[in-house]
Amino acid sequence: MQQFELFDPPSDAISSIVFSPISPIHLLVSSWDKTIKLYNAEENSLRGSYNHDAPVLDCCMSDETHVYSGGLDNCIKSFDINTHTGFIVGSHENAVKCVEYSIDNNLIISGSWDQTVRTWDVRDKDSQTGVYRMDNGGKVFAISLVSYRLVVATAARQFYIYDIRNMSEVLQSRESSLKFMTRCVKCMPNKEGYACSSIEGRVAVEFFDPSPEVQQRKYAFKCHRKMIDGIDTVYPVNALAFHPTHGTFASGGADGVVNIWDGVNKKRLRQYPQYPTSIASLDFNKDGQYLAIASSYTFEEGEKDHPPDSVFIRHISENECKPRHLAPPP
Amino acid sequence: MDVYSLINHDQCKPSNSPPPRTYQPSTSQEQANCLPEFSSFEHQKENILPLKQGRSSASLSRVFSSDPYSLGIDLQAGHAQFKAELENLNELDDPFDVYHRYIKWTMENYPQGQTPQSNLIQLLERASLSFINDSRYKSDPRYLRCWLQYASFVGKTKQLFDFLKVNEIGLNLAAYYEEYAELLESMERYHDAEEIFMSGINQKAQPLERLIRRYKQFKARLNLSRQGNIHDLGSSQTVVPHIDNSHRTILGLKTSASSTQSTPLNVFNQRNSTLPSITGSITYQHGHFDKNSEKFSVFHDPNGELGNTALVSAGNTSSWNNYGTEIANKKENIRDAEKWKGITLPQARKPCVPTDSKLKIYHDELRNEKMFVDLNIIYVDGIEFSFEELRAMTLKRQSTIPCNYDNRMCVDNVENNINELVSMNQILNDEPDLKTISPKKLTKKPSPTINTKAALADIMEFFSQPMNYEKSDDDTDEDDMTSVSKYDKLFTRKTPMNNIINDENIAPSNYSDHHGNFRMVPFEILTPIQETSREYRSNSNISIFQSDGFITLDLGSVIETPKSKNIEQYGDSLFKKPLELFSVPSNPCNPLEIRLIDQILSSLNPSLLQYPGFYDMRGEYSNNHTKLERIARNWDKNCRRRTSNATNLDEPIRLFNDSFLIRQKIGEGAYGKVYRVLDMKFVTESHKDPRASHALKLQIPSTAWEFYIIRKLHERIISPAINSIITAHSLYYYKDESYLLTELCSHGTIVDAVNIAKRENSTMDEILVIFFTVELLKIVEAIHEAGIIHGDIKADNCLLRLERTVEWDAQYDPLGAGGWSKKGIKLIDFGRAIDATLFPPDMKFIADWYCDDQNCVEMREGRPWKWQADYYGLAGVIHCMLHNEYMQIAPIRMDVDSFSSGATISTKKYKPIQSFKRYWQGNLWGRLFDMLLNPSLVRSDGRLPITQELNNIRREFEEYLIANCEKIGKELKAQLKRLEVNCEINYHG
Repeated sequence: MQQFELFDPPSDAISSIVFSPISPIHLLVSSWDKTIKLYNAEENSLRGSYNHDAPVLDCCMSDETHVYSGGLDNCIKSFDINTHTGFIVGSHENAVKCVEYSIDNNLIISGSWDQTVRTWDVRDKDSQTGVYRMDNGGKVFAISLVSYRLVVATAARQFYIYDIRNMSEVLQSRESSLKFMTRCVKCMPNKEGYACSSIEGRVAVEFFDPSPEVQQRKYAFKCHRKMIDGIDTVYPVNALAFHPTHGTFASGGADGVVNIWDGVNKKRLRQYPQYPTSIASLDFNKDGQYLAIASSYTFEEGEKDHPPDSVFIRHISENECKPRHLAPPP
Repeated sequence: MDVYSLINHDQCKPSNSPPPRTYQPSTSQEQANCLPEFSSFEHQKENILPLKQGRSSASLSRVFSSDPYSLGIDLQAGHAQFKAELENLNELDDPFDVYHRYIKWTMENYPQGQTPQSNLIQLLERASLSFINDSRYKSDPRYLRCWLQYASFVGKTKQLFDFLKVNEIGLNLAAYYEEYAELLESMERYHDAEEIFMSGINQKAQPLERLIRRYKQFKARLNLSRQGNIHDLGSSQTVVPHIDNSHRTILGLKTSASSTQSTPLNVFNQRNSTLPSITGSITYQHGHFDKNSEKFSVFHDPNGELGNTALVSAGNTSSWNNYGTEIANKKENIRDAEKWKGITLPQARKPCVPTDSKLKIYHDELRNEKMFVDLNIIYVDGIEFSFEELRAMTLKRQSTIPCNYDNRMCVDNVENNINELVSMNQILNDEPDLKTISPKKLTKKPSPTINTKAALADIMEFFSQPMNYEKSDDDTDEDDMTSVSKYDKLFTRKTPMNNIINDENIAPSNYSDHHGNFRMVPFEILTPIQETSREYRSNSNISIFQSDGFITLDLGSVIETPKSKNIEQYGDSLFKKPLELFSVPSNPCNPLEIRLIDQILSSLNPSLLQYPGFYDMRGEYSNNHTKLERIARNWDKNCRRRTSNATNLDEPIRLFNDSFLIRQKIGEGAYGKVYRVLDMKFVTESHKDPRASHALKLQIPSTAWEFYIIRKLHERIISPAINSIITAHSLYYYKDESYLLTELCSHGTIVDAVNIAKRENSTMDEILVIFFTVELLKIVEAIHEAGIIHGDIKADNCLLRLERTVEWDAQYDPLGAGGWSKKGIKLIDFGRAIDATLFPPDMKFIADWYCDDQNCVEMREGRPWKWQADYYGLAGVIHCMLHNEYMQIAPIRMDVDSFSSGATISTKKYKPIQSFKRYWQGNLWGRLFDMLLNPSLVRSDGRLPITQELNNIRREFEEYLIANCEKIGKELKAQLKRLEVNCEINYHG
């Protein structure tokens, strides 16, 4: 089967889906129904789950047994799947919007609407190891980590680039190339840069190297638009995900469409048939053979009826997300 | 594909079916003129399933142009409506009509035909199968058409027509024969087809003329093909006469590439020419067929159809009711789910071709662009709000979950833009300038004026109480119904309490002089009240500490809401186990009933797991109690470390990630045991950090109740009285044991203070007692205001709080200035406490434990009680201090009211037996004890609690203290200092 739907999905909107960094078949799903659920995508079964007391906005795994999550209860929770025990790593002053784990540094990184990014080391009892306030009153909307590079996207269209080994210093701070509110940011696996998306049907591809030659390569393109009644309707692009090996990336929009892009050759490789509702989150598994798609209404129109929230797992064939031909070396 | 065949202009009008539509021309004139543009659905033309009868262009246009989201809503509404109608089929004269309209609606609104959303096939299947035996529809053309439509999806087979025949469906309708014959013709069973036509005509199936016409057409086609074959001996085909072929036949040859018609291909000659042809009357030449004209070689099963006649004989009376469903019939087509492991999945090998042209790098914008999102909602006052924030705000308004999302900066503006509940708008309308108040400041001890009304509203939700409970008993004890509002002022939206460690510089001293081990004293001393051990068998292992959300703290609704629904919702979440559903606890109830406590703890919102310092170790056994006992035993009275055999006295106990060195046992009771421990984080080789000492209360079986109560107190009390409540640092909750880590006070209890006085052959000085009385009154006021009843106030549970202070004014200050805030009492042992806010205001309690003179009268007499338990306890402690003896009371009858009828109502009042010393403040004491022992007589309405009244008398005592604290020889400060020294416990090790 090329694509199937997960059994027993969460009962409310899905905020984030993340594959395990280690196992190619384990998928973590966090939801507004306050649960974090771990699935075996291959067998389409629920392996376990735990709860917060308020909707969960993000989750991540450090290894096969440890899951971290945060949400509207302002707390970051750590949960051990094998022993079914959990504890609170720490808390922010407002909702935790994003949680990432740095395997190299054994750090949990959390971003919150309280305008701070905090780092936590679970090996310490009092685990908070740093609080970093974002300038310009920036509520953290998205973060992405690759190796040592951390990109933080905040409100007011700001981006902050850090080296997580030394968080006290912002390496770079940039204004978004896009004119509207940032929805998502994801780093390229080759560590050269990142892609970000906004509510205005656009994706921008940027590079870390501040030298002018490299910066010249940055660009943005329009996507996730639909012609309706002669008017080009522009949808938010809620989700991005890079293929781990090909370097191509997927984008998911509130139009329910998932596109695969070749960022180097600047072409769209593929568009999948429309999903029942907005795409809330996307992730490739660690070897790029699965793409998980969270089809879950993302509240861009406020309170309304919508198709049920579900997660689709798409099997990615070898060439499906491959760039068409090798790009010339930069 | 010729698009215009899709449009039937006659159908350019809205149907008369009820489902909602987004496109509604109002007059029929307009309807006739409203020819939609083809371009409106041109882009989807491949997705339109062609229908024989054509499609309404209007509906096609509507379906493909309208906004998918509102269309989706309409469709869902339509489905719902039809489903509702289908519920009532049994009542209707023409139930099939519902299906008919539903099918029609579905076909119109889902031009693609079968999709997961349209479920067209299932619908057709259901409609068809439901009325097989219904005689009303045997000759109903709609019903037959339904079958035929269904068959067009699942496959028109002979079996279908046989089935219809057996069940006598459509046998009077021309359509049956037409379709059947068409099927047979496509199978080249011309003889059978002819037979079908004949039988239909004989049956006078309606409309008969049409049937006859069709038959004639059929015959003409047949003749044509025969003619063609006879002439076809190597020569090319001749031009055929005009044949009214309205459609191509299957496998038919087109006479030319552009022809829309075809002549049927005769395939018999190719393969089975030796067999007699079924048509019988026609002989075919074999062998010389034009090779170029054959397109396919079709296998003709020699044995297949022989013996089968087209018509099932009328004599076949076996009923055939089950046509099978599509799924059952297609079972070979459905692969069973197999294990994926080890299977190689087929991979597409073809290179993937980009489907789109190069991305246009944007620099400009199109004019006619429309943002899908409403920017007014996203950008308010220049601040961006993400979708998740908006959703969180909506949630917060809708539910009682104290969602911690808090963005007060522009909350009122944002909400004005979102058309939601307006109640919050009213609350927020008269806000102070929120922009100057950062959320941070709000969490620090705010006074009610700084608290925004939004916060108060949230807090109201915390403690929402049903206000309409009837007063069930005619007992004079009534609770204060308005006490809820009092709580509002005191509760803050605090962040959970930080672990506060008392910074005390305590010289080590001999703690084990405590508690009844005072052998040196000859005269009788007060021993701590020995409790009979309560067999507290708790199934605490089944406690669940998850909250299911949307639960207010009104226990009535907690218990009655369908929790099972929530559990199913969470599926097989491994953090939950099924709850025993409780009926609403009776009034009065036993507040310490195990299941009740479990239920309360499980339904906390936020849940216990959220409390910092709560370590959920329910998955593990600790089994450390013997070790604790063993090590502690080795610390003898004099705290000299006994070198013992195999006992490593420094073997720490590990709780979660923390390690503790075990020292002395400092308390024991029915509740469990209390040990002094050292937190190894603060223990170094050289230096004995005083911060290391803690008290660790071990309880078996595990309980989190005290932890909950203490935390709640710290949350709810904002006055300085909070320093008089013990602090709970953490709770390690294992399967078998629970460990409550609290601060350690090193000055003993009131019992010790009393004993010291006794030692000197006297009682505590009155001024000292007044001082502690004031403190105790403040504490009881505070905890009652917080809605908590301690339930076990006694001298053993009142620790002396005598902290070091830099400056200490000799003049007493009731507000705590000059160092007085560091002196007082610390109340401990909340294991029997009650959180009255969890119950209806008129709820009372009964004690199922042994009660004696130390318990209030109601408890002793088995009557319901509430706040008076604490008043009585308080009286007992004060009495203890005053008299060195436990209090005993006696009733005094007072004739209060006599009525004209001669009846008298007398009330009982209680008084302590011991009388006050003459030089004491008899008036004050008398009134105080009167109040504490007879609280229901304080107010004219007899309601409790009597916090205000106690407050008033407390102030009188304070006034006395202010005036008399510096009496020569009896200075309060000096006495306290002496107490500090005498009561100090020096711990060794």
